Amino acid sequence: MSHVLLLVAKDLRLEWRSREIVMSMGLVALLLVVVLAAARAEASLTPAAMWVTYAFGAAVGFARMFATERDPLTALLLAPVDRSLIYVAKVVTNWLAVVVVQVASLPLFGALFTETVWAHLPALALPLLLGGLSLAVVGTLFSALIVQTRLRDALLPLLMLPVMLPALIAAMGATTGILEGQPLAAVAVHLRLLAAFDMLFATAGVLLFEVLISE
Amino acid sequence: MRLLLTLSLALMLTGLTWALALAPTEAIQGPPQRIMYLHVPAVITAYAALAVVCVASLLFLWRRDPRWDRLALAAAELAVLFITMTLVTGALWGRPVWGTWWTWDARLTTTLILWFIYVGYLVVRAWAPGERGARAAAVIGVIGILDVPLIHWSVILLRTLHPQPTVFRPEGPALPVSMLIPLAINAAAFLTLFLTLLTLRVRQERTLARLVEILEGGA
Amino acid sequence: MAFVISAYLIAIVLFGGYALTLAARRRLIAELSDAARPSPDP
Repeated sequence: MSHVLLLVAKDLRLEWRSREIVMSMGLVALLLVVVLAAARAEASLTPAAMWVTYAFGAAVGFARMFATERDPLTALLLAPVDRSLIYVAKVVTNWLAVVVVQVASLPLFGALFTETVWAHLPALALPLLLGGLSLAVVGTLFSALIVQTRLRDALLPLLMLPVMLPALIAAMGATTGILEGQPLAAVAVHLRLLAAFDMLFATAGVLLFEVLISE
Repeated sequence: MRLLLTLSLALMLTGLTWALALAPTEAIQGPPQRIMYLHVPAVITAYAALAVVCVASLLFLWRRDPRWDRLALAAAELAVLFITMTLVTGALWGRPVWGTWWTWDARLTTTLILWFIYVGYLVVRAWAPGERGARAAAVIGVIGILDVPLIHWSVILLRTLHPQPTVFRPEGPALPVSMLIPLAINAAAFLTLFLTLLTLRVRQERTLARLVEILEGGA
Repeated sequence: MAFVISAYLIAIVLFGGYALTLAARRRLIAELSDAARPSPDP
């Protein structure tokens, strides 16, 4: 456990110094919200706008997660640390980055789309957090894949987003219900699917990350 | 090999003829219902191919034997082929019968997702050759399969336009025998053809690998 | 009926396309085999 905390602290320090992930994610998110609002700023489109923004923001923001100038992964691999902990720590850090962007985006959605985001904020936190986690879980695994195969960063959206679709649909379903004022019980089905997605892919991620990183 | 090829082609021809000429016309849907004899076998074969990709990928990740990698690649190419066929024939069936080319119901959506995922598999193989690329693709192969339970869960949870299963139901098929037989023949034809093509493709990869070894080793 | 024909045509095109890639790879293999075979002195 202490290892994970150490790794998370290291990743957070790295991220704080460069702010690369949050910045690129934030800028893409800002751009998307504005473009989507300019196209059609309807309250009913808010869930779709939110999750398109977060999904593409994450896909762009995560692309350079393991880039060597940013994070000496090779040095870390020499350390006597369980490989899967590296993955867990990265997921935690990236999840925090996504949450920061989500929080920062709320005033924009509130102003451009619908003020109900504020009214339902406590309930809204659930799909935002669970959905954000799914982005981090899947995104971290595919980032590692891209770096290890020296593929272009631009491939991350192509690889990551199809896998993300069930989670995004569930997140949008839950968000729609909550913004309409439905009780949590009504959207429980979507949240359960989201939670199952998170658990399934986090487990798979832990196992597969080791495979990708090992030489 | 010759036998397998001849058998598949014979079955395909039999299935084709039966589906188009001999099978009865469905009362409500009319002629377009004959697309079922393409669509359902395509789906079954696509899932068979995906199962092969998954198992081969897992075995490759475990054993690192390149034979499993070659099998996974061959199966993935065929999976994309049959998923494409499923999507297109499904759309062509849906338009005349249910009035729409496409709907975002659970089954269609997830089949489309699977198409993207395994196209991604092929892209990674194409642009990242060698052992690392093979491993990365194997990871994708495994992840793709994890989506499948989500398909079945979402079909049950979310309301859907896609017809409820009429063949693969716990109570048994709801089709009349006169349609079940050509369906079974076509399914058998597709699966046999799949096995034939898979074998051919794997052999080609194996020969290529050996040739590359010889050519690189000699120089 | 046009829908049925289109569906079967597309299936043929897909299978045909795949067969073409198999054939192309076969030619590649033949070429590489020639290159790999040690050439006898004339």
